[in-house]
Amino acid sequence: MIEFDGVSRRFSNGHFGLQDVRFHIPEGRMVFITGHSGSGKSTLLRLIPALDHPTSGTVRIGGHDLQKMPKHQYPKLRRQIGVVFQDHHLLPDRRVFDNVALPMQVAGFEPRDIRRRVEAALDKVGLLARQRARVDELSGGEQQRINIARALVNRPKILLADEPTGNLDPELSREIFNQFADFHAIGVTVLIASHDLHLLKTFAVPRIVLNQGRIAQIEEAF
Amino acid sequence: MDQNHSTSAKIPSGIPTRTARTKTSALNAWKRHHARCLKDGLWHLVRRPLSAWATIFAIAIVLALPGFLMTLATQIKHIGGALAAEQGQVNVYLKTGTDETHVKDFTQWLQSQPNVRSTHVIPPEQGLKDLARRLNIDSLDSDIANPLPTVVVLKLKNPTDQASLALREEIRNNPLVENLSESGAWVKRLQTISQFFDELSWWLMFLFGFTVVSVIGNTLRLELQKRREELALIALIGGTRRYMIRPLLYDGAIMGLLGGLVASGLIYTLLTMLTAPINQFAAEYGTQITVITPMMLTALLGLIGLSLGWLSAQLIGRNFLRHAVSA
Repeated sequence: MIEFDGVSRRFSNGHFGLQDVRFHIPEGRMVFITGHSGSGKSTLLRLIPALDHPTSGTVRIGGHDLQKMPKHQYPKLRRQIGVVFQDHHLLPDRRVFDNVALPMQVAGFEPRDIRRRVEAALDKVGLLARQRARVDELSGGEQQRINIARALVNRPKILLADEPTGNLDPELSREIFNQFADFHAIGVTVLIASHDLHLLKTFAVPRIVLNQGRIAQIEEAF
Repeated sequence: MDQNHSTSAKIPSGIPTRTARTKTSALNAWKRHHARCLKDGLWHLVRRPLSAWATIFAIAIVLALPGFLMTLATQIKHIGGALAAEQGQVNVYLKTGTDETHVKDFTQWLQSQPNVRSTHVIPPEQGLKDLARRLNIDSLDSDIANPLPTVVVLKLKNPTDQASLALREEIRNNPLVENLSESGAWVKRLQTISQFFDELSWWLMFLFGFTVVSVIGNTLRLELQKRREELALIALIGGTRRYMIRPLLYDGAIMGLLGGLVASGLIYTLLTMLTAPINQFAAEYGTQITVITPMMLTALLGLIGLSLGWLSAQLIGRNFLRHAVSA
């Protein structure tokens, strides 16, 4: 499903974000990517939806080599991938419903389908009652759940999360991770980048440990 | 999970196949998005009236100057046209003593010219009678030899075009002709002036078009800066460049269109204010200017404004997305 073959990413200042990274994550797996700040977790995640490109090596998603994929097909690729960020990336001037509906509107779904699926997604993250609220009226935890609902409303094949619990307390963090586990259970391939080792250790999930842009270790599930 | 990869897991393609049904829904989605962009574009005028209307008025002023010159050129043409129709008469004075046969041949030759509408011969006797009537004299002394020449009154179809000028030259060089009137020359000059204004206004429109593109582009660039995060998010969730740029195209086109319409209003107001002095001038030459709502001008300026706004949005939007958003 997700395949990195000798991938390196060198920035314009000469610094390597990633160096010779190789791994293959089969469909439907949940994997944690961990490491210190600056170890290359975010760089790695940005390569998957083609938001950034490797300077050498190959990234394949579902068998497609992203370097060979025409640029005009990137939007179609991205509609198959849900992304959750640490800092929410919600539109503050719009309501909860509109924020969650955005990926479906972009993909051109019918309004009745959008309503049905947005309400289902909000129900799943426990915020159906807040669908008319403005985003800036919600707490940090609620905003992150809106973020998750938006990432999942398009029924993506892959879910990427970059430090999804960075601003949340331990209890909420665990709740968010449980939701990711639920989506993994229904067949979504989930990649979560986090440096919260304490939380990660409570889940029986394989981990890719990055250090200075290289894979330091791959820990299989225990 | 393998560190040394082997492409084992095959998933269905991430790029869905289009069916007839999805094509229909894609068309519906496209229409819905256009409708939404139009609605949002109009809503921006209400939500941010100061910046939007400042831009619209700047566009209007820039478009109004060449538009006004264009209208003025049309009005001068109108005056010139009226005078040309009136002045399409040429008096050909033949040499004294030209016999009737020669006069008849000459008149027939004139009538055969394509640019001649009509000819009328005034023999010397008729001329003398007309002179006596104008002088309020019953009759002039018949003992005095009639000094007047035969005059051929010629009416031309288009007195100021090249063919008419060539015909005049040919008439002047005819051995029977003593002299001819030169009344159309200054009408020609008037028309040359109007043509100059006409051409100047198009050049100004072309040059000021760049100004309009810059004015709209600057407003849209500021708007894009505000929406940078939103555009990055839309790119991330699978929005195409066209999807991202579409609201901007509507904003640019609406501002341009309204700028063109306001420019037309400014020109109309200016013309209305200038009607009295223009008509005073025109009345001296037997014509009059009527200021009517310039529908053609309104449509033309609206269309030019709309096109420039759309072009500006395309240029600015594409450049912004290329540099600021990973689309």
